[in-house]
Amino acid sequence: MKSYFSLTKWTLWQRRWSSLWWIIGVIAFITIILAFYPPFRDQAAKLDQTINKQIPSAARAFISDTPNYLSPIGYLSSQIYYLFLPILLSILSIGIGSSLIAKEESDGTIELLLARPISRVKLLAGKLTAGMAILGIVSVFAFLSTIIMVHEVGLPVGVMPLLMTALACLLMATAYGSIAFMITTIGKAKRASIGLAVLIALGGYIINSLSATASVLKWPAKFMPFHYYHVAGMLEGHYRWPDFLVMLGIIFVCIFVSWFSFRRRDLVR
Amino acid sequence: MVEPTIKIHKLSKKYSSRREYALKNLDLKVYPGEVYGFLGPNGAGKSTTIRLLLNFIRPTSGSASILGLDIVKDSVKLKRSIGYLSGDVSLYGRMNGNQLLEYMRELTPVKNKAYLKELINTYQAQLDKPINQLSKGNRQKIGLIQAFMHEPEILILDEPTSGLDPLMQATFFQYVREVKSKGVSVFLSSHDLSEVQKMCDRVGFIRDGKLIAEQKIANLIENASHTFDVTFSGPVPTDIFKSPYFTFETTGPNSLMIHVKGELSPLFKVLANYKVVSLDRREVSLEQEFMHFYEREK
Repeated sequence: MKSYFSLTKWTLWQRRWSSLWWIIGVIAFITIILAFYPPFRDQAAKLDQTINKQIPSAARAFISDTPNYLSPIGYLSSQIYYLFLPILLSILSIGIGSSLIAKEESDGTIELLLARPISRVKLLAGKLTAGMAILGIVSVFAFLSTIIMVHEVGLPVGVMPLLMTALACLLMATAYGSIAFMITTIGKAKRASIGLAVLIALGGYIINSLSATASVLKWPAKFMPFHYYHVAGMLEGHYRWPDFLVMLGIIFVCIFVSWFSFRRRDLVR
Repeated sequence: MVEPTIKIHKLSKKYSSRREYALKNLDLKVYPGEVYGFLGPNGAGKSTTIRLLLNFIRPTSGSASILGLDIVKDSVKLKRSIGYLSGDVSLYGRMNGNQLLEYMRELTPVKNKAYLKELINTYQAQLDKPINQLSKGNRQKIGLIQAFMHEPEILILDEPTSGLDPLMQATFFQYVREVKSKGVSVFLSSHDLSEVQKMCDRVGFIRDGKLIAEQKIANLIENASHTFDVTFSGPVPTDIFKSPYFTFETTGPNSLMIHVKGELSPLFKVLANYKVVSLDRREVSLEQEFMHFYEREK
């Protein structure tokens, strides 16, 4: 157990500065976005009407999953939770997932670790815990800064809906990171893992957004994690538990495949 | 009968990306307190063998055990008893030496902190600088310290003296001799023949994934040809070339290089007939013996 904690601790230590910059970046992003809400608040209904008139419905689906972009929930969805925060957290998550094992392997340091009495499963667990901890810590700071700013600018959205939305966002980003992690543990290169995870993330977002107007895409959209991410509904307090389970399912399947393939495969040099 | 600490039986490895075997039916034994040198050119299969022993890669067929434990099934358990240094020593560049050794100590606790301190002092390792700012030799020192620090029963070292200056090489040889006297088995790969000659009890020659010869260093030296530089008081006598016992190389108007295989007395009998002003014996070159093996196998 001690070696598991050591692996986690030292992985966190190695990524401490990049994690700190991520925290600062995410806090700054949320603070700036929400600080700009008050000027829109009084004209929200009018502006929403204009936006809905000007932008075709197919394009609107790319911005948010609610037509009231400048209502409190609409603003949080369109400016933070629907696209930008998931993008940021997914970049972080895919970056971590694709490098936790792959970087150790390409640098050759994995041999230093596996020459010690550590099983490959323990190595995976220690690394994965560190990766998830970083993602979790950044998400906690994102959530806290949202809560503070929501309170400061007077957005009438409760803590629980915000918490659940933040959790859904974290789970989706973790799912993408898990896909990247799984691909590297199968033995594929870091670039391939990033490429495929980004393809699934971006493809899911595009297919899902287009499926609002193109019914032919409704079925393929169901295979994308983004399909199970409903921001506006959650911010209104409608939690769809099966969606959480789907995200958790993707994460568990990826981890299982990682464990299954990594414990037996040859290390790459 | 002493049980071998490393026992390799018909171990083979074929990578899916290659048509030929990287290692084919390797049979090898290393005994307690023995220093075994694994020699061969690049790509011969030395590192593949080491990576198989450490379960970094899986055997295609065959088996191996270390201290009676299977290298695949008991891999985690047996690594408590192994110290390992990889060929191209890869350490965490952003850590300094202290942090790296602390990390390694957390993964394999050291039995004796004083020994670790002694290793650090003897190798004069720079532990306060980030590793990516250190020279190859200084990184190698840290690599050696982490391999020795938990006083393992088996040392598996891939090109251990690479980058070390002669003084540090001597320090390393000293440590190898010390652990050997305590019964530690050392399995090291190298293509530096003089290093093997200084350290090893036995040597295995590997080529194209096959062990082509195995010799005790003492036997190798005994059977090796001896080389003498002879200087005569006048021109080199021509009738000396008629002798069937030796081979010659003219090195000057008055001097010769003579290679003798086996007994030396015929050489002295012949030389007694001439005026010899100097006779120097060259150190036995394992390299030549090594090349003979390869030439014979070609």
